[in-house]
Amino acid sequence: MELENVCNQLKDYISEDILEGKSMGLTPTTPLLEWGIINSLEIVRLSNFVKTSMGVDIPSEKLVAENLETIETIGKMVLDLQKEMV
Amino acid sequence: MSELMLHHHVQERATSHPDALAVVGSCHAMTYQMLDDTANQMAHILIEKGVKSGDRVGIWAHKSVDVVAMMQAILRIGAVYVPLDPSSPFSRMNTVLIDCDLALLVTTHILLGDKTVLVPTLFLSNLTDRSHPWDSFPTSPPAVEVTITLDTMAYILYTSGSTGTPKGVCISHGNALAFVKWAVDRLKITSTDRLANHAPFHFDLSVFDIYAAFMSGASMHIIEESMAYIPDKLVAFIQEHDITTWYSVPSVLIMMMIDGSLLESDLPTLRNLIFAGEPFPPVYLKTLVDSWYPKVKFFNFYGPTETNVCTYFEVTDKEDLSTPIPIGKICSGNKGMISKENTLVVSGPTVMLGYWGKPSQDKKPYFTGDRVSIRKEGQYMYLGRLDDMVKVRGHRIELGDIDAVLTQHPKIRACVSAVVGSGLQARIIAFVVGKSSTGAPSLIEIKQHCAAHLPRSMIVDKLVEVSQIPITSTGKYNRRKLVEQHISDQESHIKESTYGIRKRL
Repeated sequence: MELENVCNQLKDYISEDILEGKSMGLTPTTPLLEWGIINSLEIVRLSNFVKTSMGVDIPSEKLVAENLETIETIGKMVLDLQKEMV
Repeated sequence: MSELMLHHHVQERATSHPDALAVVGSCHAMTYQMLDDTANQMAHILIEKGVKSGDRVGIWAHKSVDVVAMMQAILRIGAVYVPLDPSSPFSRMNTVLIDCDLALLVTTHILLGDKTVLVPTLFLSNLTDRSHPWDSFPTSPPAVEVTITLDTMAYILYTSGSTGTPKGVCISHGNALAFVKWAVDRLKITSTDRLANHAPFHFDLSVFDIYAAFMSGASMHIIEESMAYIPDKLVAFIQEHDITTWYSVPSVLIMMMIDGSLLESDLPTLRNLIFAGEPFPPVYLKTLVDSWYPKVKFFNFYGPTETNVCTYFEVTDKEDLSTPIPIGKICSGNKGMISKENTLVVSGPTVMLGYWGKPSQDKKPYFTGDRVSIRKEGQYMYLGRLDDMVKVRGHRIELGDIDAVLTQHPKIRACVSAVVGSGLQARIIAFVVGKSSTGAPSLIEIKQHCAAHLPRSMIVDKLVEVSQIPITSTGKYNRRKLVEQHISDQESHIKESTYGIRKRL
């Protein structure tokens, strides 16, 4: 998977499931935690989404602020984890 | 012997049981001796920084063993600590800093960054290495003469205010001690207990974790903010730390049940489970009680920050758990009354000194604004609020505080916010009338604006654009009508499935 592809999937998920379609202005570098776009409860949901749709299990020690800052940082983490799986 | 104050318990334990474990953080732990020594070193540096008895010292930092030691140090010199939400934006922190006229801000380089504040600062560690600025100071108590009594202010907890400015609730040593003593006695906390600390330090639930541990010579185990909502990590934390006493909002426990395999996990040491801050949905509570009672005792604590915990209810398997449980009987040495509006009025030793900068409460009864009824044996039932204050996952939110911030947005002409749903499903909705020249801001723009001025827990979740805001007969914005018009009854049900009820209980 390419980073762009992963980011698009994450963006679609956040747009539809979290922002209910009101995602105007959401970009790969929008601060997700700082602006309360994903709150603490949604972290687990997001991780479940990554598992079911991309087949990547994010270990809980990776669910830290620096990896969840933006769509791009999440995407990079997912790709890194995927490489480790191969 | 004279009465022990909030900081004396650590000093006493450091003499009687120096090697007993006092506080455990993610990468650091301290015995009572180490905690006592560090608090003394910190007290010396506070004095050198010019802090005097009665001064307010802000702590804007993530939770750590050093922050706990700093609270002890501040109390030792008769000063007042003000824990500030590390997830709040700088501007909100700065508002509080100015409001209570801080003499010093204790913080970290990571949080403060390149921003400047108008008061002296003390960093919890040096920028170049992992050393601390107090390392070279003596571990002996500083030679200062301070008189600390039960009425001396110990800390200020800031909560959401109805007009856009946070309110500082001033708590004395006596206020906190009356509650903690009651709780230690009621829950039979002893030196062999291990208390988990889930709540942030600016949230009043943490007062129990810290001082019930120190009063009994037990240990408190800090759950750092980054793992506070990761269910499987929280369950593993209870196991790894042999936690005996857990205290959190119900939402967190429900997450642990749904996504953390709480019920399937072996937790041999757990014996007290305390919850507060919001009603516990009966279906989840019943599952917990059916699984664990009587090995684990269940306690519902109730009380606004202004009164500490003033009522409690012990949940047993005899309780009908198909309906909400009571907030229970008055406790901590207080007296309860019901006002003409059927709200709970509390008087007694745990009622705050007053709000910072406002006239003293003067030991007068505190009107909670929580509507209650009374059932058999003096058990209070919580019915709802008299005003616009709401709770989102235990965080107290004045909707007027959000409205005041949103109304400052350049694209907003008028705005009213509301909360729909409860517990895990609670969501803050903003009803917005945009300016005709610009149109209403997008949801992302609104979130960005909230994030610059409000704590994380108060950021708007959903935006509804409206052409006008209905008015009540008394000329106020009609929140209820807006919710009825724009939010379908099904909405909260749909939302229920988004966090996890999908999974089996």
